[in-house]
Amino acid sequence: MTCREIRELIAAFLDDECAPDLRAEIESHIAACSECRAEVDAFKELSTLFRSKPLIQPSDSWLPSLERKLLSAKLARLTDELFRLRRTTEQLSARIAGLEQAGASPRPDNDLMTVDELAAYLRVTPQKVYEIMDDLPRIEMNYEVRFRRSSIDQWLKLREVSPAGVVFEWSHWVSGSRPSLSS
Amino acid sequence: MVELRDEDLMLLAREGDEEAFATLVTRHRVAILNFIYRMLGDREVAEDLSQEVFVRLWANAKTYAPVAKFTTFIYHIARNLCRDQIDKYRRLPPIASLSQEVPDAEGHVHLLEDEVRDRRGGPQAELLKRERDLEIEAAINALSEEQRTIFVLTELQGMSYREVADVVGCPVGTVASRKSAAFKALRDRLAPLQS
Repeated sequence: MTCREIRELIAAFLDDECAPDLRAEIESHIAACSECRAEVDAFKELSTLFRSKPLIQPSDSWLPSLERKLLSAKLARLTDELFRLRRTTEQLSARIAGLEQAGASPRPDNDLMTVDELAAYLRVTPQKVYEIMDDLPRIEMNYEVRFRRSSIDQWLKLREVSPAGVVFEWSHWVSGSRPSLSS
Repeated sequence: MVELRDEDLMLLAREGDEEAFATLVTRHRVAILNFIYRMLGDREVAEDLSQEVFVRLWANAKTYAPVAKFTTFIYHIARNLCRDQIDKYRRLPPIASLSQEVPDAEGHVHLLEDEVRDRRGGPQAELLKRERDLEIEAAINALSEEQRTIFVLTELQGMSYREVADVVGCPVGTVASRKSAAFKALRDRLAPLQS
């Protein structure tokens, strides 16, 4: 090893951060080389000098000061959180208002329909609804009648023409007799 | 009772355990204060920034992952604060050097060197020691920020090169060569004063 290489490694040598074989090599070099040995001694002296300097101690106000700073940091975080929550709330409110305005709020399955609403749903006249009333699943309340959308959907499903050729006999409707499924 | 490791305390602090956090403060505040003091040479700034280290430690607790050693985590914060401060100074901060001008009680400005010489009344040993301290401080102050960080962490905190490499963000081999370079720079600066 050259002196130049040794000089690069002096710190690691003094701090005991060298692999054992490298350490042995450095030791044998400085035993023979007075210049490198002087360098090692100088570094060692510097290190002792620096390490002998007493540590400074925190002042009496250090801890109260830290507590104050921590408190304001916590306050700042809470304020941030509050702003974030408020923003989220505002965004949600705006979204709900938008949905309501667009009438896009989906109706639940058990939503009840009046005769007119059912007629619009079936795309027939209210008169037709009255005609087939006896065959429709319905809820009667004194002189009022309501139709549960899910029941109507089920009822419609039964009357659908399938590819296998299940035919809905429209004539039965007209004549007022019960609709039947024929295959 | 078995003392909890820093890493475990930090995990507790992450979950909001204030007592665990207080233990970390008690354990590390002197070392952090001295690290910053040696880095910047200003006691008042060191007091302020060492408190800031713990405020940031608290604020960043959520990002602490136990894969990192606690000391690496906290010294990383401390070093970044020192760097910000150095940027603020726009140059390495001045610490008392023998050629620095200091005002005396009457407001007359004169060289610290003269002041040291004038204090002949005091015990000779004390005078020499003070002079020596100032020389060393000035020499350390002349190191680059990275050299100074490596020098202070290894000499003052007794950190392993592996840990220092993690704090500084360089290979372990670089820590070794940078520290040798720091030693050389210190020796070169102090040698003329010794003779």
